[in-house]
Amino acid sequence: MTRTGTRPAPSAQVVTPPPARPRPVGMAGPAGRGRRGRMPYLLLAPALLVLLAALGYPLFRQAVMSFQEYGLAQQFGKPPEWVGIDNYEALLTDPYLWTVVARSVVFCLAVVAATMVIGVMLAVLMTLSPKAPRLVLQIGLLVAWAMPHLASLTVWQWLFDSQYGATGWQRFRLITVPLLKPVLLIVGLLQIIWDLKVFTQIFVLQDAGGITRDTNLIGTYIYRLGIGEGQFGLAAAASWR
Amino acid sequence: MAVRMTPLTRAARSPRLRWTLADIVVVAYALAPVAWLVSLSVKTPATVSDRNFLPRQFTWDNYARIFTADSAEFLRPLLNSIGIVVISTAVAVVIGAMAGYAVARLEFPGRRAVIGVSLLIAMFPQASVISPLFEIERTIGLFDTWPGLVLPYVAFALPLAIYTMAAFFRQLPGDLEKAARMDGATPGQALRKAIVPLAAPGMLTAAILVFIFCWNDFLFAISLTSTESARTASAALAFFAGSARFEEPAGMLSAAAVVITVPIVVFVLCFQRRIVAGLTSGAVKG
Repeated sequence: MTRTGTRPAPSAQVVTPPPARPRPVGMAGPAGRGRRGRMPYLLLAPALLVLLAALGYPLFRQAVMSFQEYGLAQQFGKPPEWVGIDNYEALLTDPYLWTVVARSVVFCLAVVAATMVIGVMLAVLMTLSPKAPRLVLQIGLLVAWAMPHLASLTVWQWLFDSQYGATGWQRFRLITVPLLKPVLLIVGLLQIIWDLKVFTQIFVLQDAGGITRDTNLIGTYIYRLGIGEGQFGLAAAASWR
Repeated sequence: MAVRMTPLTRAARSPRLRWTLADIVVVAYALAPVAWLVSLSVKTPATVSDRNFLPRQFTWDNYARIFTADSAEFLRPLLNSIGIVVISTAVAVVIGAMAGYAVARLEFPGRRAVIGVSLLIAMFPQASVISPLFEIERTIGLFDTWPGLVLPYVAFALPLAIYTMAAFFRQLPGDLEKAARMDGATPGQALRKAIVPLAAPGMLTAAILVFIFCWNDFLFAISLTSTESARTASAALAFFAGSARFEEPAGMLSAAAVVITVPIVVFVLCFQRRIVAGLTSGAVKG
């Protein structure tokens, strides 16, 4: 089962301000308006700086690199050459990309469906359980969620490897509760996004054997193109696709 | 109607017991990997691959060896993990608290944009900035250093910190700053004297979540480090060779995996209420 939860269920509704939000303090009184007007931005500035450095600039570099011939030679100082849309052309005409994309989508849909069905079942189970077992269940699930993926995946790797037969895919059905639909929709959407960016699980299990090419999803594909093969231009283009 | 029931079937029909049984099954499934790791980590090399769940020969050797073997293999990465994650958590929570306060309790143009951008970052596939980040860090010398990992950790943990803190600040009484202002405080003083002292519980929740997020990272750790000077424990596991070259390192590997799982388990046991509250605060109270 994929543990997609490095990012906890947020926040989709944060966007709608709650009805009882305290009255904003930044607006009152003419005196000292300049100070008050600046305060939110001063408070936001450090966050913004970090994001620009770790995300904004790399994304910009990424966009530039996707139009350049940028490989290992450029890593060692050779100036990159502008190649226009060559990288995109190379990627889009490579049937392997479409294999990876199709596999990502299928993987994502299957995992989303399974996660949601099992998630609903567990939620029902939690509401029905007596107090003490429910606490145990909650702690057990939290440990499973929070545990370093690498540690648990190491075990899965061996399980697959030695064919202990970790096949326990239970089939759950008949849980379409119309009341839950809006929640399911939001959770489903978030889940789709999370599953599309899955990396650790795939990357580690690929080491269990089998052919990497047959199991790459978008995340691992970009990684192997860029850092694995030094084809930064191509990897950049793949991220923007 | 007089169907005779044995005690067992009667028990099985009690809903209480049935749900408890279901709980046990789920917990067993969820914790199977942990249990398996613990079991492997205390097996001797001779029995490590005997596929028995309960160890036939018990030993602490694997633990002793990961801490006494070449320190570059596990000890140093473990220290890197602790240092990098603690620094990242502290920075992310402080910066996130400031931004969260602005978003939750101040009105300013662009407030919605801030919320939208954080949501976008939370959804952002990290794999797609890995190549340029790698290249940039190589150029400016951050590659394979602590700050080189702290930077992306803080950036990607920020949405989590901002949402948790914003949800926390929203539930504080609305009149706190107003009262402080009545007493003649400037907005800055109102924040420092009235809000900051109350922020500790929210910051603790945010810190726990950010710590778990950073501790579990694998992608940045394997991409932006190359030696033991900054490699974290979970990345080191992937390169684990064991002290003896021709020996299956499974036992030591499991011991190392158990060691990096322990802090997480302790966190969950101590703070499970807070973690659940933090995880749902954005969605429920938002």
